[in-house]
Amino acid sequence: MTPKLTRRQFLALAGVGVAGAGLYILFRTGKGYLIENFDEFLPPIIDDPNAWLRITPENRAELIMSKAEMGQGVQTAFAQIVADELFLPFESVDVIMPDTTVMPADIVGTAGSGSVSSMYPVLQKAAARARELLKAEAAKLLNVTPETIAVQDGVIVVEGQRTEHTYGSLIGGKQIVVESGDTPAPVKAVSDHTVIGKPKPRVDIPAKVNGSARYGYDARMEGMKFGKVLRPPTIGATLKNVKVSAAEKSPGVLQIVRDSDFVGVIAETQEAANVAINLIAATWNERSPLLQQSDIDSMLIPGGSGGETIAEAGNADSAIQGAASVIEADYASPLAAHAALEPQGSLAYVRQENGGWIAEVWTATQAPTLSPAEIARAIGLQAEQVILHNYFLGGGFGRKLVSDSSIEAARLSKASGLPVRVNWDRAEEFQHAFMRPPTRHRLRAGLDSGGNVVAWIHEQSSGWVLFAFLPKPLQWLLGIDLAATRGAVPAYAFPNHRTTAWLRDIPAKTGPWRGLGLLPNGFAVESFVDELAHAANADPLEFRLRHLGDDSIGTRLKRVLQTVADMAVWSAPLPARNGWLSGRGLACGEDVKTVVAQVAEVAVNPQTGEVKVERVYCALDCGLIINPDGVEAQIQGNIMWGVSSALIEEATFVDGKVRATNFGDYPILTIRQAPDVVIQLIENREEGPYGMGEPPIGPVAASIGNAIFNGTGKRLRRLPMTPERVLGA
Amino acid sequence: MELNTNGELMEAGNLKGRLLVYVLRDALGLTGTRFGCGTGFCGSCTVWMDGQLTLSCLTPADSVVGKAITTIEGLAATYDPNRLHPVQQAFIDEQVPQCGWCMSGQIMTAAALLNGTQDPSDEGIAAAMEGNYCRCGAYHRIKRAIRRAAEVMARRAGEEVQA
Repeated sequence: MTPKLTRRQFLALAGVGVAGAGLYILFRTGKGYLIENFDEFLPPIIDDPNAWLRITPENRAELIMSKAEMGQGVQTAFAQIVADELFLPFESVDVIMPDTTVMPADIVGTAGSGSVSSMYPVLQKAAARARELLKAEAAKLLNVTPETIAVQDGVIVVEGQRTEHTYGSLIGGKQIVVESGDTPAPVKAVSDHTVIGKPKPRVDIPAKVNGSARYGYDARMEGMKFGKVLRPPTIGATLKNVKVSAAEKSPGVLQIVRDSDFVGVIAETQEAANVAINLIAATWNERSPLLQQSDIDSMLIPGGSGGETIAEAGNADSAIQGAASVIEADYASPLAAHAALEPQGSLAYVRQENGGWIAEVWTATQAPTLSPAEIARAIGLQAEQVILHNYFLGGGFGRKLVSDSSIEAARLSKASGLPVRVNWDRAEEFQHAFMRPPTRHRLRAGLDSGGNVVAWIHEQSSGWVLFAFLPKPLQWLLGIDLAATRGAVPAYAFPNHRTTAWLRDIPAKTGPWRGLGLLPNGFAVESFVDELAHAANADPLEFRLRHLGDDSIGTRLKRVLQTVADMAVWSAPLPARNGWLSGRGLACGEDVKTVVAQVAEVAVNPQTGEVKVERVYCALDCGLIINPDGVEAQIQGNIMWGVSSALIEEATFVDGKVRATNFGDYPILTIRQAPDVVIQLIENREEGPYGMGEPPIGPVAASIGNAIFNGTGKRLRRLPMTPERVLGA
Repeated sequence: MELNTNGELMEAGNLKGRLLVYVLRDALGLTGTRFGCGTGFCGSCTVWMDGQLTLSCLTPADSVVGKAITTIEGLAATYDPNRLHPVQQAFIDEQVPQCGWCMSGQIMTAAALLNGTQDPSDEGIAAAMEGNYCRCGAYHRIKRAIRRAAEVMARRAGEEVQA
């Protein structure tokens, strides 16, 4: 048996505050890896009701959020959980986005599709404890035994009779006293849920249709000034010298700030700042030769030293030698941008108050309780001196786990004593933000004479995803970026298999992007499974079903596969189209225990190579569903992301910088290209809730590639699947 | 300088060298008009100028003096001052927004479309809306909401004719 690190040992090695919820982490123990759920190794989240809930005298519950709302509906899901456990109507819960002096610490951030799965038990326990303490309070007051008391809509009920007492009258506005020795209160049985499982309207939507919703980019205050920061012309360039006289004289400029490599302008208006930053004459030490895309591509070939085997069973090498036939293929995915429509933006006001420094920041970040330490470090304060107000995020997708603009605004504010807002523009987002790293995949498999997989080898390489955010000792300990290999290990019960990953420190900024490695790995793995089915002369559905195991994940995957096949009428031929080739492709996958299967229907123009994704069917099982309408919205959104990534999106380096500066060079999916989406959710209240922010992105690109193959006989092994590549295949 | 915004003359300061999107957001505090790309690709900054769709990120602010600007904050009043515009209501009823950043632009564009046509075709919706990106991918629901709003507006127009 491989020794397992204890949690204490792990935390000692890891320091505090790394990686993402729901990620599976692999422990390198000297002899192979152990796969563990990272959640188990994080400090427990406080479940004191006072951390999360306030009861108002009006008998409403206020729910304190530590997770950011970026459109995933987390506020609504949390409100449903709390309402259900408190026996309150959903409409009686108000969601509060507090500043970080009140917000409970969250060392994970809003990431990894882990908000609902990690917070469901916490909020349940907190609400149940509040409910039972208030029931006990009512019992004392009414001089009855607690067992005779029930709650209906927040009103205390004794033996079926409503009383004049409510949560609000019992405790409204005061703290709930929790004795440390209290036994945990029992939570509701799933079968008793009345709010969970219902398609409740999202609480954040009304403000988003009348314009009143406030985002980080919208932050404003009296006397606010506008900052802009000087950027290096090419990646890795360092400042040699700088002349600021022309910028200083530019109309509306208040101050130029220089602090070693950091140079910024503070002006009366955004336009004045934008003009002035371009008047700064700087010379730079640039990389020589300048980075080109081919440099990145050549670094990515899997192989050589440093590969880490992350999953293995049997002996794949000897099994492949004894196979009746061997299939090989290489796959690739490019750098990809987040392109959240709200660029990042932050307002900071750093000032002295009562003899001490205080830095107040208004922004939109996925890591609100982690950002203050980073901001403080940049301006020489302590984390406790930073107060962060987190607004709505106009798209996060991993990009807003890092708040560069908060740090920049704080530096400009500290240097000037003025409240300064730094809003990035689109060119800054494309050129200076981190991106999804590119990947390469070498796949080999052996089939026996019956067309069964006897050996599977996936050799994968990727740029960094979360590695840059890990402390050095943990980088050494792991040797591999777990985020980059998300989705790299097939869910099938292949008797002999090996997945080996190489992590490449490419000289581009890369980091977390929706699903992390899930979409690139899912594309390679599930396209190659399709190739094997074809080589085995088998139906892709039957081939997948045959190779899945009978464990929980395997069983649930078989169910979603069969469901989606029924939805798409998999066995019936597709109707012919005038002049276009029609194809249908299947793919599936598991991520954070959510299982998903999709069928894509595509039309391919044989003359131009244009691919239209007409429809995507999706069957999904995420365990207990909190809000079915929210789950459907996440599926729809993930599918649009997947289609966009599969067909359109690619960032490339030219002469040391990202070629794209705006959407003209980096188009994203429009309404005209959006497929129909048909969804079926599997009812499975026995487990979960599991994550929903990313899992449905995994199979999208593969289902499209498999559909193109089905319609044209052409196998696309490189993303994006552009018309040129379709014609050239 | 004063700008006629949402039916009100508002003091906007010196407009020389300024863009409408920043004047609306920073000088007038109308942050419902969002900035997305600054180059006219994404549609997040869409407003109406004398009822016509205008990309405020490409519009010099001094060029709109004397014209009537309508932003998301003033949209409802153009139809019925007592309630949300039918397009806004339909975007709630169909639970369209995710992150919501593009939604002011989506709604202004969709409302202009329905001012011009009562029953837009699928092609009509795609043609009108393809300049409004939604990175969260709510396209499916945007189409449904526009059809719902079109029905409501057609019905109300019919009621008015009868009355």
